[in-house]
Amino acid sequence: MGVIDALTLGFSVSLSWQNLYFCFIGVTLGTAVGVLPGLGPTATISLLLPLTFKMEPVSALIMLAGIFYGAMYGGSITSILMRVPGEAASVITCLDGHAMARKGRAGVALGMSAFASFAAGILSTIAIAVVGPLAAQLAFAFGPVERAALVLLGLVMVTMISTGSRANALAMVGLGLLLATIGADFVTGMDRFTFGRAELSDGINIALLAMGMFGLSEVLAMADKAGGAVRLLPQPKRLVEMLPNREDWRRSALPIGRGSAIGFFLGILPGGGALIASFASYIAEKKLSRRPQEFGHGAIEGLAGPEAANNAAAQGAFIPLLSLGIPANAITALMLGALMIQGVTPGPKLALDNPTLYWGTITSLFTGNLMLLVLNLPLLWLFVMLLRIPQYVLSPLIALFCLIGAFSLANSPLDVVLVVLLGLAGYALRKADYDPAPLVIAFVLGPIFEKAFRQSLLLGYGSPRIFLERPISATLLACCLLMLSWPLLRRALAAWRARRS
Amino acid sequence: MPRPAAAVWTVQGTLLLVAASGIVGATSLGWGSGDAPGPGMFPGIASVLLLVFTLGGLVRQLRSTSRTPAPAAGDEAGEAGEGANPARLLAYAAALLLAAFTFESLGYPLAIALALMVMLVAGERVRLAKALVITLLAVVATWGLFAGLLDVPLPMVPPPLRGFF
Amino acid sequence: MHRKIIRAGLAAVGAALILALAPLAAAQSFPSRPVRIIVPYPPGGSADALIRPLAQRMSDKLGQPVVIENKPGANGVVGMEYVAKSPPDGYTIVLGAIGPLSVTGAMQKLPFDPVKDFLPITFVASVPNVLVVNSVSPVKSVPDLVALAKAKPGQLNYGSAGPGSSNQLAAELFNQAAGLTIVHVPYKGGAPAQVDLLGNQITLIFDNLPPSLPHIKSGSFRPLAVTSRARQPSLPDVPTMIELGYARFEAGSWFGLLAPAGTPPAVIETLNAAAVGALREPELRTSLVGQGFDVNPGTPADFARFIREETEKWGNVVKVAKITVQ
Repeated sequence: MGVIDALTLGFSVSLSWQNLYFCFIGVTLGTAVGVLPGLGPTATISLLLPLTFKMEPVSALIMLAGIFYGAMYGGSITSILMRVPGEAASVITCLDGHAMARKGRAGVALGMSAFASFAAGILSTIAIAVVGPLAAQLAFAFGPVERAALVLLGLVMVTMISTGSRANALAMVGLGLLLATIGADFVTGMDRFTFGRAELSDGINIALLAMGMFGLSEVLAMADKAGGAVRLLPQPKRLVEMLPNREDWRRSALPIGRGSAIGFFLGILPGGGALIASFASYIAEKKLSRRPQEFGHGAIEGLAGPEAANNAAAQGAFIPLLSLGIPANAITALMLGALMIQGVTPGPKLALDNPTLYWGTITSLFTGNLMLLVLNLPLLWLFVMLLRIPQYVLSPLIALFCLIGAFSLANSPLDVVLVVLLGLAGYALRKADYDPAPLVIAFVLGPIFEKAFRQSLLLGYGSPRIFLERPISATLLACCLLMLSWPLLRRALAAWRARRS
Repeated sequence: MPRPAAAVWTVQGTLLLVAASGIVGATSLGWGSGDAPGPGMFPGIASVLLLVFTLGGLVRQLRSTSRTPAPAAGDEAGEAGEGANPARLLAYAAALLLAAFTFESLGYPLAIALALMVMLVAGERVRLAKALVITLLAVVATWGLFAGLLDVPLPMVPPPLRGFF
Repeated sequence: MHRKIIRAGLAAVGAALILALAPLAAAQSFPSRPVRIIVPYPPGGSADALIRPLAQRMSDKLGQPVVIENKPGANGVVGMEYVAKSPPDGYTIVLGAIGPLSVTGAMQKLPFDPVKDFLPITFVASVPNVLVVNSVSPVKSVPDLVALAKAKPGQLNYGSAGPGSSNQLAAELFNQAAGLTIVHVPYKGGAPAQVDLLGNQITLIFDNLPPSLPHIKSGSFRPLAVTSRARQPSLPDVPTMIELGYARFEAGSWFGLLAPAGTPPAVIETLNAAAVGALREPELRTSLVGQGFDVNPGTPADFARFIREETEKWGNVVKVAKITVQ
């Protein structure tokens, strides 16, 4: 079956009234839970899972997929407007997105983030249709050794997302790595820093950290400001102020393309995921930019790239799910569960055995992204209006949503206590000039590195030499070394040039 | 912007304490060796990183406070005026802690309502009647959304009464 | 109507009185309100696939809704602890599994006692493991594997879903039975281990049958043996470990329903009848067998005996393999 035939078949499925309806429900719901802090797509999908058992498998998957990438759109909204990430993958959006909003460019930021997500969605859908299962083979080339080297490269660059002092950023990397080790050690099963609580042996959920360090600490910061009614942000008055201008488009085009590629690639790798993808894109843009000093102060590249990346990663994750039957993250694991309960087992033969499901789902990504754009653009006005809600109502409501969202992650009352403690800690750190962003990224990367590193040693019969013997990991390690020694190299180069001239 | 140095030192002191206990914990878990890392190796490395760079920050802080106040990093625009309202901050912090620790024992509607009232009345100085209305609306709305629509098994009443409502 | 008024009155009188009357009210006509089954694992896993259709049919038999509540954490320990501390009235029961009931206790201290804190209701189903290698591997059979492992001691490795998982236990049982030293490479969950077997990074997995089946059917994995007592209908050509000469080599994960200790015997009987009746319905049975479950309901006493045997068996494996924590 050629790609054209396949796509025709796919669209005949995804454009049926019934599936358009479920797609619409999915993306709307996704946007909504993305906006609400705490209640991320993972929690929502697990809550809605029982509903899908009575649906057609393809409709169920289309709806669940819609929740997933819809949340990537929605998660940006509160990140930009209030620096409260609607869900964990939007943490990076808080950095420059909220800085733009503070400069009165909230509408522009929202519009660009919707468009970047849309463009990435379309690009990665095309990529899935064209390369599809072949791209899945990429996941195999990345064994534990390569994963360890790749994540190490990420860890070396973590401090770059901070605008503050380098020492403080590195201290936060340490704290993030330390927090990430809470829970049962995956090799020996020994509990690390769990204080005897079984709930802690799975570690702290990343959503709790994002909600506490960004969401609740922002609520506390607002409370600590002078005056009764705080004016949150300057309000855009005319429609023109809400739309990106020509300069914004010019600066964003390449970051969106690069972000889509980075996100798509990292989405395929197991353990990758939207937050890492947006982080990688942010670092790439900051490195490539001629104005790196603007990052963290409202650089539109630092918004457009990561926004494209997190949506592309969300969609890239469908490749291993559909063509291997292997979930790349917790959300696609839930979708796999939903399909298995229905008696459909995704795997290498799904595209042949069940082409309506396979191509129907892939083409629905197309229609869903279009719906999201159409849904989001007219709503920009409404979202900016959210800021008209008086702060004395908005702040308590954000806090309320964080608490309930924390509970709904695992139906655990301890998580409610944790999110509050993390929020208070986050505010204290912020007062002392410690930036939470490197902490959150280190928290995500740390465990992946530890797992891959220790697995590699077990595979390499206990010798670290294995990292140098594999070409991909050796190359990545060379990059790490280059990054670490770059300041020295640059100085040496400058001195050499000076002597020559 | 003036930063209360005492707060910064408290935070740095706490970080040092966390790092030190991390190192102690890592040692009791066992560091292992480079070829066969034990469960304590990664927590240990993380703690050392935290210790070294917190100390680094502390030294810099000591040097700069002896001369001029440390320049603030990050976005100055939005943080201006922070630290100006300790009473409201305290009300929010207390409300959050109250809600967190009573979420299970009082049931979520009561815990949330109490916290909201503290934030609104003690923190925001909203009139009692208005605060009651906002609280009621918020509890009903979240109940409808989370318990009704999404089937989140939120604790509704104190445990001894469970099963009767 | 009357009951509603009485209940409202009781609530007003106070919690103490209600507590005193609760067991009486419960014993009169069980169940008089919805029954909750706690699943101590995240939604979407094999525990969910098993319990959701079962709960629906149990609800038909009990005449009250049966609701599923996922309380994941610590490989089942969090949810089990929650049920151990729930009122023993039959309205909160748990889908227990091999890990927290028979294995974890041998590795570390549990916040509950798997025997004293629970009353078994019925065994539900087991999931066998299948020994798989990558299809490019030179290993074509279990004897091949044993020969290779003996020729290269400590150089082969197996993936698992983590310490104490059924993948690890089966592999350690194999190591002990055949005198091998195949190295354990743990993962966080079964799926990432599968990816690395697909990428030929590890030698083998004693994988759970249902998630492994698609890769076997597509030719990516080569099945060498199954760990159930009899051959599997989905893999009729694959021998059992017992056939290959490993006596009593049965290793899989299993699930069963349990209530908190102190639940009245009549309530246990009612729940047992509902679950067993539902599991004997041909439609449910066929669909579960098709997914790779061995459905095998029985009496509470049968299940209690089974748990004791399993606990002893895996306790020994854990001890010999030194998987113990601390």
